[in-house]
Amino acid sequence: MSRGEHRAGRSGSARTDRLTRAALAAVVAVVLLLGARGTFAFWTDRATVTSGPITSGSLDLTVDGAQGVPSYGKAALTLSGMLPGESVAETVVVRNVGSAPFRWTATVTRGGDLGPALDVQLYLGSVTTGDDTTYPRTEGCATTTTPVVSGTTATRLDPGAVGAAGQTLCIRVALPSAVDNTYQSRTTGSVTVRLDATQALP
Amino acid sequence: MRRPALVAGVVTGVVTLVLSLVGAAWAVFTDTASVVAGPATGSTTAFTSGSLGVPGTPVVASQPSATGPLALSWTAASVTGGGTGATPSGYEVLRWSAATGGTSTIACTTTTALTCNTTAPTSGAAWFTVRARIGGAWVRESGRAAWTDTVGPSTTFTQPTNGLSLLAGALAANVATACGAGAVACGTASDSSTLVSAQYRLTRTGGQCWNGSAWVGSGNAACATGVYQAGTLQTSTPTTTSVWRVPGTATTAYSILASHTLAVRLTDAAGNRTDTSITFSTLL
Repeated sequence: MSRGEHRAGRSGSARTDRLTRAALAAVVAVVLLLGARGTFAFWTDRATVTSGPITSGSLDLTVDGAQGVPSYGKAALTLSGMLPGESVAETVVVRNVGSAPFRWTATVTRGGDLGPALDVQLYLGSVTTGDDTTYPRTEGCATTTTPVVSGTTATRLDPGAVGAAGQTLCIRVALPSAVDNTYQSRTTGSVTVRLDATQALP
Repeated sequence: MRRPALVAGVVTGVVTLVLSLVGAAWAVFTDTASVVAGPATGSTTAFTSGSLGVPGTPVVASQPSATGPLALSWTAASVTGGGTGATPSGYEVLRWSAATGGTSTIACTTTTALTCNTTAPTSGAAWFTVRARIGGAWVRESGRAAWTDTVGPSTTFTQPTNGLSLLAGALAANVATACGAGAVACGTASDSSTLVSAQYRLTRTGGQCWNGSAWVGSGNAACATGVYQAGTLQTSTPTTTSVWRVPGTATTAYSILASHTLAVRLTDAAGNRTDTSITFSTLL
């Protein structure tokens, strides 16, 4: 071994020793710190806040005071032996008896063999005109300024006094004057008005 | 201090905006109620329709005259359903071109009356139905009633006229003025149906008869009993009125003292025939 090689070997060994010692010191320090934790003491305290009673609100739409589930029969809304141009109209009162404001929409469905020929119109805030028994029987809604379009018009109804008073909905069912000749002597015809209420968001 | 507050405000605003745009982020209460027309839930017979009955097949009254209107009558159509007192809103009488099939036109209409008049068709035959109506489109139609023209044409004599007695020259002048050159007599014809022919038989004292250009003897075939010569029909619009003429020259026909008998035979499209005659005389 040359002199130079010998010097280099000594220098590398010394560096390794210093690193080893430093690592050991660090490990000892960590062990000491962790091991000595239990020797500290802390003061603690706790407080509990209890809420008042929490209940959920309700959304409740009624028709003429009925829940309408699965359906409410409007007995007077019927007309037998309809001839072209004849119509019948009745009103129902939509109420909000819950605690949440809502918007309601009305969707009309017609059934039976006469259903496709029936013309159903809805008007808000209207009363019926007459109780006609003489040909042509043409009952109608007193005012037609606020039509409720099936499946489209959304009407807001707030709870409280306003909801309790409700909104009057006039339903007019007519056999149009121009109804096709094939709709004579039809024996089944039904109309359903479904009212869907959805909570009104703030 | 200002910067954190600003950041917090922006974050709050963004969150609020996102929540408002994304509806699904909100849970909402819902409720549904259904109103069914009729006395009971699930009623399927709340509305039914009435019907219109078939009116009676029309009856066509006899035509009062050659050009008179046709009077049709029928029994009312019944109405089932509707309010009290429901009746058809009207009737239409249709004139058909054939016993079955064919085309139709409205002959006359009424609201409540069960009779109406219409002009007879020029074809001399037609078929009629009555269609009851209620509303805009509900109709019921009766069976077809056939009609044929059974009344012959009517005529008037322009010149000469019945019972006329004039100097021969004056008569010839009158005829020329009224009927134009080339005619020894003329008149008018009318019928509900189209006129198809005019014939004449003009005879005078001595059994002579006019053949369209001259007087011929009684032995001539033109003078045989019941033989008519062809006259002319001047077609006009409508075809149900025409002017008939007896051909010839008036001054030739009316030149001697004689008594004349003019018979005119008119025939319409339905085959109805009318014979009408007058007498007149010429003086010298």
